[in-house]
Amino acid sequence: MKSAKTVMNALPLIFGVVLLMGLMRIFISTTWVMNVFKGNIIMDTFIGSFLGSISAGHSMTSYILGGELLKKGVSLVAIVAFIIAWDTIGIVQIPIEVTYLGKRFTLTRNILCFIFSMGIAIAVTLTIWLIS
Amino acid sequence: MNVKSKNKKKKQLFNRIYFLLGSIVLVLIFFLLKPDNTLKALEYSVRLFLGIIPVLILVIILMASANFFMTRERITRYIGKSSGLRGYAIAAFSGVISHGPIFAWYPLIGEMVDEGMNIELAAIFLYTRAIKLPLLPILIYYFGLKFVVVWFLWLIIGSFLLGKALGLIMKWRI
Repeated sequence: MKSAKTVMNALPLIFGVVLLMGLMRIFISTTWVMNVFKGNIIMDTFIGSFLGSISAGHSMTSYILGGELLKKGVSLVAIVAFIIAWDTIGIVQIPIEVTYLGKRFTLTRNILCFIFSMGIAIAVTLTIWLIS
Repeated sequence: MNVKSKNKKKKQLFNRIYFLLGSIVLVLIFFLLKPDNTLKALEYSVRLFLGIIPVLILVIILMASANFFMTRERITRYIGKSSGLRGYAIAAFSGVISHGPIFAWYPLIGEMVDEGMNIELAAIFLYTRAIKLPLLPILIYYFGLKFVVVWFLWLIIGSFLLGKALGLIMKWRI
């Protein structure tokens, strides 16, 4: 069956990505992430997007981590950028994306997602501020 | 299949195997430096892989169904370049309801793009995967209902803008 063969062909990449995600999940500690934010909203938003891009794991982890960061006083805009980048950008997964969707698509999409994670974070925070 | 296409497939297979071998070597290096944490990382990887097996099975079923039901003409009509708002809605809705890690969906999306799916819609599908309906209660618990409604709406708007931006950039000749 063609579809099963396509997924089987992807297995070496999937195994590799899963191994890298395991390493990143354990070696990038939540304590380290919490101490990276310094209080400058613009820099923190950029840091949030960057950390979200290189992080890997279940979305729930990013929500919980985001909630804890909010309690610690990190700006909402940085946290939203972090959560959106976590879900939409996959630095570790790039080899699989390149294989199936091409280099140009992958590069363009991930760069745009990085920019949009900051843009949407600003839009969300401003909207909440306006309606509050 | 011509010789050029065969060689390309062979090269892709080797690249995949090299990537896997590189990842294994990296794990071994980490194991030599920090054995306890690396074992925890491996445990996490195993759990992650077991978790994506059902998603991979679902992807195989969806791909088989797409091959059977979705002719090139139908793909062009529903999610092709001229599918319009309906195409955007289908891509966004599919992204929101799809489960599992994003990388499990790349083979299916790649195949659909080869069959005529609009790349803008592929980007929208991948972007709206940031909206996880089953996890919304956790997001509401930490950030409140007002935040989640605003976040949801901006992600939908953002996905359309991102799709359009990607489409325009991909049209440029470098």
